[in-house]
Amino acid sequence: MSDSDSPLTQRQMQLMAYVDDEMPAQERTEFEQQLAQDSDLAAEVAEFRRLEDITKALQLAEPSDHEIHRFWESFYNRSEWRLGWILFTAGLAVLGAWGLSELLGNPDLHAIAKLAIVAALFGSAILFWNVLRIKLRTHRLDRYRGVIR
Amino acid sequence: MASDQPGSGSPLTVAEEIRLIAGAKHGDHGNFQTLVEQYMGQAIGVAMGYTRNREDAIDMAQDAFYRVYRHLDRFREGERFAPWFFRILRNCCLNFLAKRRRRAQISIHPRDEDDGGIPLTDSGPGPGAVLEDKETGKAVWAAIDALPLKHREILLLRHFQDLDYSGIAEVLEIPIGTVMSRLYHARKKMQALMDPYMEGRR
Repeated sequence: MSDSDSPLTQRQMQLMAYVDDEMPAQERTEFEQQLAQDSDLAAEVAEFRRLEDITKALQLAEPSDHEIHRFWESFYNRSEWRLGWILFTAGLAVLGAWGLSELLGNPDLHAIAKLAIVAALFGSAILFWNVLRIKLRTHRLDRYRGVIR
Repeated sequence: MASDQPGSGSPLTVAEEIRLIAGAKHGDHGNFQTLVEQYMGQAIGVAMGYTRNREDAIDMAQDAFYRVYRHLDRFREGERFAPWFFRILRNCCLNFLAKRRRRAQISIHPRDEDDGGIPLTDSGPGPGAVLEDKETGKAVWAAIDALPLKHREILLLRHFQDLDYSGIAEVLEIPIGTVMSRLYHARKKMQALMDPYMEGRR
């Protein structure tokens, strides 16, 4: 988002500060004297004020009950999902590492069996991730996810 | 800065806001809920300026509140909540637009050149605008919608959220001089867009 707006002149800066009530009292009095003598400047101030009045009179619609309900439901879901996933992933990682070390460290187990177990575990992890990724992407793009069925 | 937007619940004083944030920081969910209720309507309105779609705007507001909830500890004492919150909301919206733009590149649907947004074709009077004169409401939103994103966002922050120059500078992370010039040019463009309508009403 580049800023290609031309810089303001001193007069335009004063005009803005005056309209937006960002001018110190002393400067304000001086500017008002200037306004009384400069009809172009006064007209510009009036135009900006009118524009502000029109837009400020416009009220944004408050969220409906359904929207508020959806908001909080989704908010809590999100918090619970996050916590759930952290616990689940951490537990699975610890359990997987422990199980794997137990299995691989078992001298009675044949090397081919160990290799097969490792391959099956990695394969399951890849498949699980793939399904999860598709589910998450579909959920994000679902325009009707907020609709209560 | 406490809200003074009509219809967004009774306005909070700065002291009340500080108290609510302090309580929320200590895990009082009721305090956080009050804060959300206070800002939800405004957040959706500002997000609409980016997403141009109410459903997406609600998602963005939720995303922003969720981030606030998770990072309340980063909120410094003495800081104003509104600029901090709207900066988070803006980041959420810009991320969303970037994603939408990426999706649009592989989509067959045409998007507008400004921000990858969907033109407001089904909008009626914008984000559920309420004005005594509905026609004026429509004209105002159509004009806002026709502005480039940088002008649209600064107008929404100033005219709807009533943020002062330093608040806007904080949200947009630009110097106050740039706030003034951007707002000036936004108003001039808005004026030009509204002129035919205003002329017709004179």
